[in-house]
Amino acid sequence: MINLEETLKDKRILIIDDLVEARSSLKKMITMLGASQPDSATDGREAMELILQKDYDIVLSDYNLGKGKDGQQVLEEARYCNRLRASSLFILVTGENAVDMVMGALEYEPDNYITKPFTLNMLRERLIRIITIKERLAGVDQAIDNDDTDGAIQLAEALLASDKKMRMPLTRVLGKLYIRQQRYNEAIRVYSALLNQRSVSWARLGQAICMHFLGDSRGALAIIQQTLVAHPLYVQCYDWSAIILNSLGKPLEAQKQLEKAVAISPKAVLRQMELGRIAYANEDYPVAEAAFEAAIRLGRNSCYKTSKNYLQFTQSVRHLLGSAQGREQRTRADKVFRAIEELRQDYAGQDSVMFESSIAEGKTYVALKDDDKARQSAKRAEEVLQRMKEPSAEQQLQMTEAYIDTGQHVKAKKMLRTLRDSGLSGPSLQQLDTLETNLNQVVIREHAAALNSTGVGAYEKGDYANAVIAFDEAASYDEAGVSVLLNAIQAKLSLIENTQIDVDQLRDCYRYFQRVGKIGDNDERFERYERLKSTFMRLKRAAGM
Amino acid sequence: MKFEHIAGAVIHDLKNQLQALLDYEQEALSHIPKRYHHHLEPILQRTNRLKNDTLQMVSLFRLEQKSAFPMDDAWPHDTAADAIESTQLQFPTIQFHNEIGEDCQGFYNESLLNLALITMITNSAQAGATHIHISADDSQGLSICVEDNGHGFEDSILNGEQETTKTEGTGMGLFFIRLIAEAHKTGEEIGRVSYGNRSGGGASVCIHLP
Repeated sequence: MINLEETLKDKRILIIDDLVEARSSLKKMITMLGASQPDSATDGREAMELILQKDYDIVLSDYNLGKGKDGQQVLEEARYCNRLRASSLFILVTGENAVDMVMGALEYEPDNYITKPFTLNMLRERLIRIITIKERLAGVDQAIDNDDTDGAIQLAEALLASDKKMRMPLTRVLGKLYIRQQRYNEAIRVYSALLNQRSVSWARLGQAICMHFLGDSRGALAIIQQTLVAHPLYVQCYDWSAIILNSLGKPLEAQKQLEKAVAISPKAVLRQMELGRIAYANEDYPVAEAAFEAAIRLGRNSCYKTSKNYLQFTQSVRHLLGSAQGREQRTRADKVFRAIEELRQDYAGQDSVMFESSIAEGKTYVALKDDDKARQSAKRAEEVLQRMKEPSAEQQLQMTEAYIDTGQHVKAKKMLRTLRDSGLSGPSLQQLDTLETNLNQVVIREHAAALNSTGVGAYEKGDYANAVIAFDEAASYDEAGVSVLLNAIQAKLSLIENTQIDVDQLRDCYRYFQRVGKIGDNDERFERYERLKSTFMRLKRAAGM
Repeated sequence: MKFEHIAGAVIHDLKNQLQALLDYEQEALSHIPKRYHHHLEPILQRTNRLKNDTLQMVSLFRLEQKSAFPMDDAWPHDTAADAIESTQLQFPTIQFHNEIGEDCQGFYNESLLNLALITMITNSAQAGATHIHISADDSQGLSICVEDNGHGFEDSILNGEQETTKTEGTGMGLFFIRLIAEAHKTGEEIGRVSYGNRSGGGASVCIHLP
């Protein structure tokens, strides 16, 4: 076994604990055991700042760190942003009741854990064990740090064959490496060999993951269900259930599993993002909104922070804006604007993010029916787009949509033409077609509305002939509504009554009535319809038709 | 809320408070000249005993609730050393002999085994032992044995007529140790406890884990 004092002497050590007494006591103990000048942090945020600055050999963190991140999340984040070598040690200090959660971690697992409370002697013993194991794994870890996965596997297999007492830590690392190389059968082999001797949940989950990748997703789900019976708080089981269910085309059930995981462990950013994505796809916008909001909040000051979270959040909220009213709508909208403001500040130099935030802002104003502000946002987006060297088709399509939404049809049409000439294909082309159809409909609707009001103007002046011309044109579009059709009928009937019987005009009236169809007696247009109908019948009889 | 859950929560808090008390007492002891220590030591001993008792209650509660007690690689030498450390204070006249090899390895829940050993040591102390030997064998599964030179088990316990003959303590030591052994399962195999008297006098209690 190792000489602890010698080993700790020149190691860079970080201690993380939110409670001042616990922190200073641990610092004192570790110094008595041989460490020189260990650093300490009071919460996850401070810890991450230190981890990003310095290379630590040993991190000793309490699991529970108060309000912010917990120790497991510090570990995940440190590994996620590659600030923790495989050969460095991460040890979680935890109460007996949390050991379960700590040990289960399959992907971002701590090297080891120490259960509280402990005396100096207990800490010494435990550290000696932990460091001894770590040193036996040194070759494997070195290979992993050098990205030599094959070498790491070879070394680990050789060690496994020769040292039965290292079976647990070696199986953990081997399983992970085989999964990384997509050698699922090999991974299953090592997990099963361990499971024959030892009942450990992480190996069972590992086995299930491999079975899923080998095509037996139902078998994998059954194993995960079983593991959850024994370990109902094992969050990663829910994560994987969700992945597998989604792959089986059951996104709603997948979302339920993720919601359970989030309920148990609400502070994990990546999990909140995953839940947001899946809920958004399921059109469950309230859940998506909450998840992305949590992801934004938890991801601030962390390397999980991405502009995407903010934008997806605004998208989710926008779907909820239409149905909300009054104060609720205002609160929602304010959240969106705050998120957009944060994006503008934090990603100022990035044109694509600036562009998308203005697009998101504009769409929100459209949902709020604030046309002026929507136009301003579109203008901002336009400015960014113009200074971008090579805007993507996706961005140009978004701009087009903003033009249509804000009534800038000429610009929309121009951009659509440029895009069509550039030869799009696949989903972009589909989107282009949809936008073109939308644009046409909008243009027609507006044109028809203009014609209708021209007709009304002429009619009010008693100029029935011109009113008939305008209404006829407005009615010539398939999209013309009941009011336009009734206006056209009324103009024609008035024209006949003021001039002479005109059979062609009466035929037109007949066709328009057909298009109007039946109008119920509780419809507000019923009376007008009945009145026109009886005038029409009277004139028809007079014409001898 | 059920009474047992309230009781469970209270005992859990009691355990934490007693642990804190113990830390304060030890801290105080370190600042006080040695010649006054005998004034504080009885307090420390009682606190320690209460802490061990509440720890037992907490675990008992969790065992009855069928909570998960995760098992992991563990080293009996260290587990025994921890158990000795937390009972030594209470029984200063007993000589402990940790005879477990440093390489001896097991697969168990360390907190539970630690408690089982504390219970076994307490039993020996109450039987008047002055020497306690702890040994282990990991050649097949794991067996940990505590042997003492106390007065041994009475026949009525050995042939199963009575659970305990003690007038001191809770009298549930063996029952508790058995519960802990049985919480360790591997496949069909389940942990068990064996006990008896040594030919030269004294008791021997062993936990066998699969």
